Amino acid sequence: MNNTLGQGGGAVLGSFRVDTTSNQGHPADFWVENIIGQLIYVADSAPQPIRDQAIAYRESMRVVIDIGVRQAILSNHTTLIAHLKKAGMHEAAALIQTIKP
Amino acid sequence: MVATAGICHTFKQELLVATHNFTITTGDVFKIALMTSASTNTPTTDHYSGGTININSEVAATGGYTAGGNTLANITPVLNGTEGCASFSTTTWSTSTITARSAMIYNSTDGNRAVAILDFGSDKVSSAGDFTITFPAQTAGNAIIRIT
Repeated sequence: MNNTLGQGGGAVLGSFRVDTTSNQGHPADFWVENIIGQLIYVADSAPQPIRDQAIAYRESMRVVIDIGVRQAILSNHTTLIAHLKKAGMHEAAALIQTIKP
Repeated sequence: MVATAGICHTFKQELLVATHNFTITTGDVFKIALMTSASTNTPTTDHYSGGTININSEVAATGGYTAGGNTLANITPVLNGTEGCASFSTTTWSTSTITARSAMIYNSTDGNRAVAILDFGSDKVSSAGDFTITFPAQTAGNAIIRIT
């Protein structure tokens, strides 16, 4: 009688993404999608009712994260503007104020 | 020449003697270093430095890149289906000017032992911008490091 000792497993490397920008950072939308992608993954093989619920939850979370990311950017702008004004760089502060997240 | 992607051979043996700990916060510190298209690293690479086969053609330490690369934020491994899955949070070199073709993940806590070589497929370029690597969902069939 033969015993099966293994089923062909191994250490496997997954795929990944590389995203770059020029003369600017990633927009808020990039980070919203990035965070959503890390938090909630909906498998294609999931049963349809579960899949539908998971997608609905993901979309509701997307709204929350979108607001949070943009507010964080605006808060950082506020801090930068305050520092620049304190240093007498009013033009730079005004420039930052025009950048929308 | 370009680097060849894959899980490093020595890493497979090191798993069996509990060398690496991917637990969030309390685990080992893993880093990711970038390499140019001149790199010839393959999964036979055993260390970032201090080993028999080390990193070669790392991106120069200018333009927002520092030697050794970025520290990764661990995500505690999970069992998903029949696969053990490890992953990391997204990492970014901000305000950087970088051209890189591949990367090496390594364990800086434990002698800079190599974990994996990543191939970007082509040169990726940031110019006074962001250079971001996003790891896949931590699930079977997707996670960046999987034991199947």
